[in-house]
Amino acid sequence: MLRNKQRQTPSYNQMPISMGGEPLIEMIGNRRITLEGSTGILLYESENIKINTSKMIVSFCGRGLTVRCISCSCVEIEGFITAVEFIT
Amino acid sequence: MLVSLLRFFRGYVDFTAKGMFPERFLNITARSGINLWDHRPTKDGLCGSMALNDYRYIRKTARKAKVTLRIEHRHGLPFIINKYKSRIGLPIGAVAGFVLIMVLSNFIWSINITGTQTISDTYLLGELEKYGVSVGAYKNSIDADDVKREIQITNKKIGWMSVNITGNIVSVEVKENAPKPQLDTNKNPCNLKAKCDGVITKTNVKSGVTNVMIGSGVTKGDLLVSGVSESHTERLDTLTYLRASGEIFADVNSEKELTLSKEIDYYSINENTVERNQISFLWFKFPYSLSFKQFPYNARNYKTQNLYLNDITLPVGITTQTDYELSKHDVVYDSDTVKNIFENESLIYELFSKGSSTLKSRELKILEKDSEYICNISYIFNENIAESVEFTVTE
Repeated sequence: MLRNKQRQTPSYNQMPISMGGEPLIEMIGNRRITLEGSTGILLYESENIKINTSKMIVSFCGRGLTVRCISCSCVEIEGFITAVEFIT
Repeated sequence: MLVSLLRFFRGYVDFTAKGMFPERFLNITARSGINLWDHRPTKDGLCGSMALNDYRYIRKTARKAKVTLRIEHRHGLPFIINKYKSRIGLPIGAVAGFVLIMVLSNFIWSINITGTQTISDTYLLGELEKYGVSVGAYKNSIDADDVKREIQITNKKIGWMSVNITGNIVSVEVKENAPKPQLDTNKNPCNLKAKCDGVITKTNVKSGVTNVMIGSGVTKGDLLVSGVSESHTERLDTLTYLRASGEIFADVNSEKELTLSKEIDYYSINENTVERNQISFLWFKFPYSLSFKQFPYNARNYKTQNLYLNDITLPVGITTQTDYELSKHDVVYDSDTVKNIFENESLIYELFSKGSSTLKSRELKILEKDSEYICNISYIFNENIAESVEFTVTE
């Protein structure tokens, strides 16, 4: 039974979804955002953080914004987010 | 918590990065796998924290991003060690102290004995030492139950004993056996006879037939109280055998001869002393004051003073050995001194050898011979002269 359940719910990394170079944005309310597919931070201010991806620039506006965690392809932002803007 | 602990041991710095492209700095560090945390944007750059190791190699990256790095705060063990690097004695002392405590906690520091009444503590310490319990002994090699059992078997005076090792202290508790009262359970018939010559002064007969009267003289072996009681009736003569008991007091003459040489060598302590001190630590003794002066005749005294802290005798102390010089004098006694000496010796004899007797008279006659004085002392003691002599019925 458990084995069947595991088969039905594959892990997040094994999801057969082709992103096609698009960034994957995950939001927890308006307090935390995880962005996958980042190629670098373009602007880092407490009111505005701009993150470059392969196809667009994602701009997060808000108050007290900080980059909680950063790796070569993933950025986690924390703060009070008021707007998300996609600049192509 | 664990991450904080790891960061503390590895050391980390709070830094500010000011310059044209702080974002670029952030990107390069991310690509290089350098971990930054708590970073937040500031007016002209950003600030954050990073591990000390990473900070050492970040200069080049900072130059690329055209930012200037500045350390705001330093945290962690490497900085604490660095701070006290010049005081090398401090960590060495801490380590040495720790090792010392670890080592010393395996040995006996002191022995406390409680409950002794007639048994001396010194004797008990000696007995404990026979079974390996002494100051400085290795604690783990002591089997307290075994020691307790062995000492109890060999010492009949000890009724109950416990040996407890608490920390580094051995507590010995002793309960002594109550001495058995000497009961006269013998029921054989006996007479009371005189054990020496004398003149009867008082009789105190509990059982038996008194054969002597006050004022009568008796010689050694005379019957004082008979254990045979005769009763005569018209029809029948009966004999009853008793165990005679009682006290018969008599004035007894005794003589004692004492001799004393006219000249003797007398040794007395003078003011010359030599002290040698040792620091005792467990079983080690380190002399810290030496003296090579020796006296031909000396009396030696040892005095040990241990450190005493919070009701615990510590195994650290000072033992002082003092040698007193003895001066040799040739003493020639005059007649008055001789008389005093003989009188004193006589008093000692009366007190310790004739403690149960009452002295009625004492007469000293001192004679002077070639090289000695001879004292003949005549005593009259009033004492109990009765002694039990058993007899069989066939007698």
